[in-house]
Amino acid sequence: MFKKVAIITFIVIGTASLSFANGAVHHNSSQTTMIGSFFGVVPTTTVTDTASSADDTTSVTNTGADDTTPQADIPGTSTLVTADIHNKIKRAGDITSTVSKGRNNQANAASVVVTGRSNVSGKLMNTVKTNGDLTAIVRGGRNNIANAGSISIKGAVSSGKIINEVKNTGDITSAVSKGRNNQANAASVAIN
Amino acid sequence: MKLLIAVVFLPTLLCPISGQCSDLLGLQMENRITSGEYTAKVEGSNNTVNAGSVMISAPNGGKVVNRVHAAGRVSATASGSDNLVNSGSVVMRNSRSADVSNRIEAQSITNTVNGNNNTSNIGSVVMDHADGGSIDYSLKAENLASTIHGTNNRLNVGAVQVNGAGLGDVVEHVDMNNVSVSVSGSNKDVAVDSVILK
Repeated sequence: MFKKVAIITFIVIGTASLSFANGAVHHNSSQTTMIGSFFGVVPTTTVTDTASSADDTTSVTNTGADDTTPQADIPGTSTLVTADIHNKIKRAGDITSTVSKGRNNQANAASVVVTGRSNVSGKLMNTVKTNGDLTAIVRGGRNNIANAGSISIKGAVSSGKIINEVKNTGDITSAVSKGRNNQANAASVAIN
Repeated sequence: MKLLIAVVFLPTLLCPISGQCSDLLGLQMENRITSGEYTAKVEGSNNTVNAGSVMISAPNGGKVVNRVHAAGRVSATASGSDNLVNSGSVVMRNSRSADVSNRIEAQSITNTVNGNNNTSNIGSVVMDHADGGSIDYSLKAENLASTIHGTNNRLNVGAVQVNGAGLGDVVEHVDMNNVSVSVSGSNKDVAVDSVILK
């Protein structure tokens, strides 16, 4: 009996995962921007993302008033990550992640982010080697997150090992200017 | 046997569907940073800023390692109300871990807090309603300057703050040359090179 329940449960999770394979946007009125980052993936084997390019800058900007639309979760959806994830950045420029105003936005640069209904059982690795600066900034708004050279997990189930390694000869800046309930992470591991 | 398997594994399987099972099952975390200058700055209210830090606000069970080597200055600033700024620190809230290791090395450290109900941590380990094993931390810096103004603010530099938590052995290694601390206001809580248990 339990085997049947377990099999059915796996099928439900697997189906939900596939339907949400690229589900970077979990909520209405949300924006997600990534550079050299992993977010909401469903790998079946070890995944390594290697990036090397000029200066990377990712930003999310909402110049209007705060969006008052409440968050609307999608019921019954999940992301199942069973393999190792290795985000490897080798570069010589600056990495900047910025969110300006708005609500429920996320800007990620050279980061590994797992959010929402995710179950991670493998290893999460974020390796950043650069001569430039790492900057994560949130300017105003509410419930926004900016990650630069970081690993961030929110509302997810995880087991295994998390390794964030940043070899950087530049400066690391993390800042929130005004606003409410915002978070900026630079070269950090944040579990919420 | 089947009942045991169901009790142990079924909640784990169902967590992604329920969506609110934020949990870290025996997770081991390592944050290793080598860089120039660090700046962590926050304004407004209820904001959090982390630079070269590990912050955990969820159940855990593994080992936490934070290594930061900064060639230049480490700066953490909080102004406004109810803000949390962490630089080169490990902060655990409502969590459980095995051992915690936090080792920070920098040329100079500047820590400033203005406003009300703010917390600023540099090179510190803070456990708020969190259980842990042993704590091993070290802070090495040439110059330290800290300023705190306002009410109900907390400033930790090279300190261990434990609030309502079970705790193992605490081993500290603090090496600072010039230390300057300026304090005004009321109900402030300043800890430099200290171990505070509440």
